[in-house]
Amino acid sequence: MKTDDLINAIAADAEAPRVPINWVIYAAAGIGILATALLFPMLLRVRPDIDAVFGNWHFVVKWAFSLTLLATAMVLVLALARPQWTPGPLMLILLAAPLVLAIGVAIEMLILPASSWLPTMIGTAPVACLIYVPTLSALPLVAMIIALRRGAPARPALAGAVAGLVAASIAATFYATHCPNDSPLFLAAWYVLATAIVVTVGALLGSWLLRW
Amino acid sequence: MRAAIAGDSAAYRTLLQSLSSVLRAAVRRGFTQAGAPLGDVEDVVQETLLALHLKRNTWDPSQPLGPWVRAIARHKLIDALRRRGRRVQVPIDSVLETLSVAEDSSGVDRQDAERLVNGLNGRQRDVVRAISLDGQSIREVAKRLNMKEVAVRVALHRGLKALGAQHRKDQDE
Repeated sequence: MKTDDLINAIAADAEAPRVPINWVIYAAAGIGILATALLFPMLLRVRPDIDAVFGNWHFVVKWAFSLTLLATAMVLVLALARPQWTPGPLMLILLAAPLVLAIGVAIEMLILPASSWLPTMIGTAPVACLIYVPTLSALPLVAMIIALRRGAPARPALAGAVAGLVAASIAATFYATHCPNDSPLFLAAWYVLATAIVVTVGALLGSWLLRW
Repeated sequence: MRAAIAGDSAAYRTLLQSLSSVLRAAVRRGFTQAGAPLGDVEDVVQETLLALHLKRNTWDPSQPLGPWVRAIARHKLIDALRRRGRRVQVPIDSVLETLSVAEDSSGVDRQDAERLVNGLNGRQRDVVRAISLDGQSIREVAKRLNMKEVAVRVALHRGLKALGAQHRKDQDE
């Protein structure tokens, strides 16, 4: 086929619908949140004392961490979906969520005696966190990867990893309402580890499915 | 591109034609610098045009077109060279500024593209071939193949997507 002939075919396809990539990604995040909201009550229940802990600074840090992560990862994923993206200062926004967490950890360590740091960090259910956060991440991650396949990421593995970050932050936000361990020390150990698992899976999926 | 995205085929064709000559020169320069045989140049040009079309939803109309086209061209060129086992050190931004070159009409890549079209399934192949080779309009093709115009449009779009995917698969082997 001559290139000019191919151009004929492409030009004839000019009217094919073109959904801007941003819309696709927002839609995927919305679907991911909705799917997790439906899956969550099937697997877990909201802790009974949820009303009491809402005002608690521990719980505020939990949500501040996961929601900051969600917002910053979304900003980055929107940029990564386009071919012109190159690593740059925008990546620094990913430090926002760890910063929130670090402040929480610092306050907690000032309040608690050193002897109770370790037991607080281990908490009562570390394994559950490592199981449920990745499980709840699965649907949002699939949605984000499908959306990014409509994009043109110059760095497929990185795009997949940040999609994993989005998914893990959605999962953590929901899981936080079940998990009875509220200390930032617990968060820094187990939520972060669970997030790392999801990010790794996202990077692998990305390098496999997001090449174009 | 703005007119093209609004569905203006004639404007789109003009744009693609001028892009293709720029791309051809750029890919040729890239191949020469990497020491790759020039026989595959047209193949990479076609693959890039397909990618520009299939990924046009990643261009933000409020942004200039140039950097976006360069990014896709760079991606496809580097990909093509990598798959051909070349080390890639291509300053493609300068490369992309060069003059246009006439289409290389040597036989090998032509046959390759022909084979890709043949690999499409029945309806998609008929539609892509009728529109590209015979230059028929969507309406003419619909009449000739006894299909609805919408079905022709869908077959064409899927056919182009499949062509893009085949390029990848082909190179992976």
